[in-house]
Amino acid sequence: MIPPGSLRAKTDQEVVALAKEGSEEAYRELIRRYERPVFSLIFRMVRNRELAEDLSQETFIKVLNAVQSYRPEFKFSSWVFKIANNAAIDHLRKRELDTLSLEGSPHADTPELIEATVLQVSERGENQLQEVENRELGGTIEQAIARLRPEYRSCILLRHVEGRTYEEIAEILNLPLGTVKTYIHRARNELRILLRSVREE
Amino acid sequence: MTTWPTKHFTADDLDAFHSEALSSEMRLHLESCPDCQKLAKLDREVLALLRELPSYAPRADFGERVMSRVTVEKPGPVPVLSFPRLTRRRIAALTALAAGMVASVAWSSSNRVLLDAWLDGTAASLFNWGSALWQNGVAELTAQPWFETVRQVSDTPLRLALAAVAMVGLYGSGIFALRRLVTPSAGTVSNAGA
Repeated sequence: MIPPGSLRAKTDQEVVALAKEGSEEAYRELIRRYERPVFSLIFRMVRNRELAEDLSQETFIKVLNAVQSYRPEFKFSSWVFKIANNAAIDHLRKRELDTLSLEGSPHADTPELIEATVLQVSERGENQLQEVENRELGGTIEQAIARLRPEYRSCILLRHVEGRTYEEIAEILNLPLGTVKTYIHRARNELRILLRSVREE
Repeated sequence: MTTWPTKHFTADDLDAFHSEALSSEMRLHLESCPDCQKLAKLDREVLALLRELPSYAPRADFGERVMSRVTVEKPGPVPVLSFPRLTRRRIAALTALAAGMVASVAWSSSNRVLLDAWLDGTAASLFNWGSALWQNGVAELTAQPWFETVRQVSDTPLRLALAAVAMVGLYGSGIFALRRLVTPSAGTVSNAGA
């Protein structure tokens, strides 16, 4: 039995190796390390606490039940975020929630399509982040992130909130590196526009 | 007077600006361009706000709820050597095998002359059979209608060399085609469940 706390200094790969050997403490350590980042990512994606809890739980159950088949040549955190993001995106696709963009769909290539996909503001589930939205600029940014297209949202959260590299994000989201960069810069552009408009008000 | 086109900040320049890796050309531009100064300042503020966003925690019993639905797999011990369980039938088979081997060695030791004669006779028969097969094969080959044409092709050393090169080329193409057929595609394989 491994004493609780002694795993904290170990790397993810070392903890996963112990989990593969059947150490329950290692499983708990992996949950402890990733519960906040995974929950935060999913919460900001789906904007509903109960739902985010359920999807985070699903994510960890999937990850931990498949830990024996985890291949150490991949970064463990990338694997966890990949499953978490897939869970959130699958849910958003099913519910057809919040496809919001100040610029319209990135796939819209005619003015009519851009017009048709611009500013589709959802009225559902907005109050879930009420407490953070009350804080002035932080709240404005939270609100602005919530209004981004889900693809942009994943990218900007992974890059600038979770601090992942462009390459890792490309691996997590299964997207070409160029697409990831484009999504992140479009998202930042939307956030800049919003911040500027808030300043000018 | 020539006026150069203004090259404002691109997305990559913004990234370079934040990581303090901006090119000297763009640094000079930034010093004199109010639009790019505004853009870089605003982008820096956006990034700072993003970095300061709080992280959220699930409910306190989250870990317990996950663990209640996870199966902690303990790998079984790996045996260094494993033997099948000895049943009565297996013991009988092993005893018969050992007895047969002992009897064989004993008989060979006591009948050495007879064994040598048998081995010599068998070796001679095998040699005779092999040479007869070879002679028949060669006779069959030279009797084929196309044999004369092939012989004429390899009449001179040059022709022989050309024929050999053609044969090697044909063999190489065959191997290459076979490799293409039997090699599985090497696609990227992501982790389980991802």
